[in-house]
Amino acid sequence: MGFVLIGASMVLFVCLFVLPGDPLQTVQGEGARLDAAARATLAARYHLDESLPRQYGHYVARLARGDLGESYRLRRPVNDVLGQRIANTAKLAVGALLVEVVVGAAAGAFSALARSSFVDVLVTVATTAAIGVPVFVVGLLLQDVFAVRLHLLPLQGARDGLRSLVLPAVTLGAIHSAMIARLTRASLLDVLGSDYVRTAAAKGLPPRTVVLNHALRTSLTPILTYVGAGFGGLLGGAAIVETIFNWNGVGLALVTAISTQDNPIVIGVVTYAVVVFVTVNLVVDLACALLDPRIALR
Amino acid sequence: MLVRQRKVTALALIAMLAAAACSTEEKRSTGSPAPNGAAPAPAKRGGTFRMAISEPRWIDPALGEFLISKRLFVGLTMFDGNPELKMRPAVADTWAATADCMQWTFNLRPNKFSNGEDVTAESFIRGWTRAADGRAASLVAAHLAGIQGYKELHGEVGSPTATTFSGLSAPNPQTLVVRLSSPDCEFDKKSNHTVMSPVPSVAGAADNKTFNEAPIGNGPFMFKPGTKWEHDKGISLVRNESYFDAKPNIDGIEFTVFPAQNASENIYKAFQVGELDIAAVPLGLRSQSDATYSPQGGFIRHLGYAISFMVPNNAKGPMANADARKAVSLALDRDAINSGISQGYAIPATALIPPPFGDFHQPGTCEGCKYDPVRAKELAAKGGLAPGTRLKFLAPASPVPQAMKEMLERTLDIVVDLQSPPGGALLQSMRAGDFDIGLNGWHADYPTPDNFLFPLLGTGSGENDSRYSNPEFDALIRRERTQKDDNERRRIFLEAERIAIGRDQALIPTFYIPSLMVVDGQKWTGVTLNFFDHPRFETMSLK
Repeated sequence: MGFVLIGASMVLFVCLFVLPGDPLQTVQGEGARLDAAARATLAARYHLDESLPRQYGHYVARLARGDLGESYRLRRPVNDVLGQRIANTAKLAVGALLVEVVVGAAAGAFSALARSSFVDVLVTVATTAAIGVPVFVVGLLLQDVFAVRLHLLPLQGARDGLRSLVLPAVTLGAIHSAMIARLTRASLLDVLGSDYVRTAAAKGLPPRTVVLNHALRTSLTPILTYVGAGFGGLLGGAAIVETIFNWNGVGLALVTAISTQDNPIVIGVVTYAVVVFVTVNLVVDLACALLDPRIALR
Repeated sequence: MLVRQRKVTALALIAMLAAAACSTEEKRSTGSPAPNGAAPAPAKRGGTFRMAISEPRWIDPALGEFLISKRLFVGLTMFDGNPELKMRPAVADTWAATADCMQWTFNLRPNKFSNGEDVTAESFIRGWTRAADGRAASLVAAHLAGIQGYKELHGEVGSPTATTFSGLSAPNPQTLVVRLSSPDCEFDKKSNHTVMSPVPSVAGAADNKTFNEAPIGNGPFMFKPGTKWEHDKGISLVRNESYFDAKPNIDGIEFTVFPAQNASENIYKAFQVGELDIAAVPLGLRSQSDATYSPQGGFIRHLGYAISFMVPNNAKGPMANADARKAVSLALDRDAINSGISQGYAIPATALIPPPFGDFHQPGTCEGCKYDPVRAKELAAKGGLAPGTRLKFLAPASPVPQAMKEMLERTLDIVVDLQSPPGGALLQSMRAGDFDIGLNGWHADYPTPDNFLFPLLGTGSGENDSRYSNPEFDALIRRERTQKDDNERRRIFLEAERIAIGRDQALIPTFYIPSLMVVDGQKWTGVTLNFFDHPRFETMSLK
């Protein structure tokens, strides 16, 4: 993880350095301007009057202490700015993961077990539609139906606890749940036709045991791999969902930071994202090994 | 070099232009007047007004935020929107300038901060000194630049040589004396700016993060006891029972933070489902919103102290010629843009100083502000704007500058290279002079035409993107600042505008920018907008 983190931060540092414009001026917004004295004060505070390698050195030294610096725009520690936002995005990501795994895996399993039935056709059509619909359309539609018209769930924000989470999580998880449903269906159909499943059935095991204990367990491996690989996309989609539902997460912070050249926030979000992404994939690899001993590390 | 927080950004002005209202009515209360002149019923007390905000960068008055800090702090004077642009007493009940306008004396009335500490002249000196300190890197410190000792305190490159403000003194706790480095007969108007707020002794330096989380002020509202600024969530204010002036009718204000992205639509939706009491009207919903909320008295039109304008580069290139600038202005069909893009919700400008300035607004000063393609062609030929000339046009990506480009190309047979660099890059390009024409806007910091004329057109102003430099104009500005007589000062203002806009067309006024908002008119009354385009929380009440 250390190598990935250092590599990512170096690439990012260089990319941000070559961007045109003066970050200290850009973060003030279009309507305000720093005078020479204020600019010099801030440049010294953030080491922007030093060379890029020295700036990177300051960043690494701070990172070793768990300090991600100070936002140019908000003049508050990056850890403070991102702290609550990370928690918010984590809630959203976990909610979306639950939606996509539970709904997706269940729909895919039912579809596979009832191959060529009405349910199978319904799941196939629904998942095809869900994959094709942009996430913002799903979000706005859900808002309109469940918040504006039916008043069943909050329109936006995070003030109502779990109720507030439902619409954003379903929105974010919808597309991935469709992908997982298709993946589960294909994987389960493949496994159901394999020799060891036929053997288990021939031994007289109940169909439920054959499916749950033998077939589904093995077919979960590609799904977990997809969840791990798709986690980055989930974080990307979170920015859109956070915008629609006024959900203050890191996605929104990143969008604002990029547009205002608030580089410490950009680097901070990427640093956290790398840590989370690598950790999630590590967990997924371990889980896959647990589910299928054939791919366990020797 | 000036720093203006209140400047309307190019991007924002396009949004406001599109959201503008065609009515010249300055504001419309949601309340109804008492019938037949009967005395109005006493305002009902109570209620918490709910409003959306974007996450403030700070709320300490020294750093440059208005909406929250104006609720928490009250300065020496205040402005109520009168057309004579007269300041009203706030903490200072009387004030006077010396004959040369180099020194001002403010006599303060007794009042307290919400923590019980007395507001004295020292409170003002403390507040102004911490804001001017270069180490604070305040975006609004430049509003204090006219006071003696500012340069030493602020420093030129971040290394101040003084720690006190030599131009400020307090002969006694109730008297504040301000000595200026150059005459300013309207300094009392500047004292309405948040950067000139008093602060209590606990405030510390301007970068004191603890104070910034829940500033203690002397204004009509204060932080709800036991709360502080909940970042990315909101701010809860309650009525300050120790406020020295008329106390607000409402119990408090609940500010909810909405992310900046897509904010307008989200906030409007939240208003529609009853989660907020007020919201700005999104671009596409103007007519619908007007039709829905006007009948219940919930549609607010407010023509602010603001304008959008085209900025020709007076210093170099084709726009250095006044006839060429007039040709560009005459080629713009403002009415067509208004009806075609703004759906009638904008007011074509005919002068730089906007209508709310009352006696100082001169409709028709900009002779080039009427659409006249024939005259435009004549002046283009006279001014050297030959067919095929290329003009670099800096503006945000929006239908309005696109329409302007097409009009100029069609009428003048020139090539307009419209460029829309993202975010602050647009402003930086304008400041660097790398353009022929640009699009920008301005909102007043103080109620005086000087706040338009000098920053936008004065030689040496950091906001003078047009690079207009005219000794005759500059001399008038210097003269009006030494003029104590209101009528004479007004005459000079009008003359200066006629020279810079009427004769030289240094800037090309395009539209005045009304704000459109909706409010829950069945619940609230007396909701109008003030000089800063903020709701008048201090006077609104439950119905």
